[in-house]
Amino acid sequence: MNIFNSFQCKPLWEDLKLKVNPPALAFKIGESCFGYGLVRQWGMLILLESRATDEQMKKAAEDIDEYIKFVVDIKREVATIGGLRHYEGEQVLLGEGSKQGDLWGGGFDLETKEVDYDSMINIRPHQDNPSRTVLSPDIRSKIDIIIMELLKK
Amino acid sequence: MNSTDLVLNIAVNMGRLSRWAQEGKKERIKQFITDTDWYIDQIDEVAVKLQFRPTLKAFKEKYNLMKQDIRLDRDWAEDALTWANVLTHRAKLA
Repeated sequence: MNIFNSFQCKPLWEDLKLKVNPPALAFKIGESCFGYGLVRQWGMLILLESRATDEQMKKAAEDIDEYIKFVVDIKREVATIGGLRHYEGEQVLLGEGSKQGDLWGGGFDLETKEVDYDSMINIRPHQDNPSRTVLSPDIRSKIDIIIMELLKK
Repeated sequence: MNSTDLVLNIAVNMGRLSRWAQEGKKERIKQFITDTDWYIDQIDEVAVKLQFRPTLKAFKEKYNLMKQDIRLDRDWAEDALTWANVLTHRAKLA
């Protein structure tokens, strides 16, 4: 069974007359959708626990001109891809049981196949990361491995 | 400056704009928008490779929207950071 089978949540958004962007609502809607069974997609935000399909990659790249934002849980080795804001992915992963300290944001450019490690959610002085970029080589390495696996880098 | 240099300069400026939005420095943002505009004008004067043109078009559209609505909030800062990264990645294609 492919639990990443995309289930389009958009009709539900429209029924409830909710905006797509606020992360709290996104998660609430995610829960609602999840109640239906196999939902793992919030607009263009997709939760990945195994390798992305071509269709998922295509959808995730639609938001920002072939550039895919991701938020990775380096402990659970899952990620969200797509969407306009890293905090949306962060909220989805927190709602799925991830811990804040394990989440790191970045981007994957489909045109150049390069990864970056920059996100507003990465600013965590208490984890020795006062920058928007991930400073720790170890964490970067973990991100690389997970992204390589999930995004067919 | 060639097109790659110009794109890298714009990318660096977008990173600065992002940081200043986060830090609430509107005057610095205005100053560097003027600077960024200059680079964008310059890039219109040089030959940009075909492969990079869609990126440049998408960036200009977004940048113009951002310029019209400078906000010292997280979303504006994230948009600027996103384009700083995209342009950094793709400067070599320009």
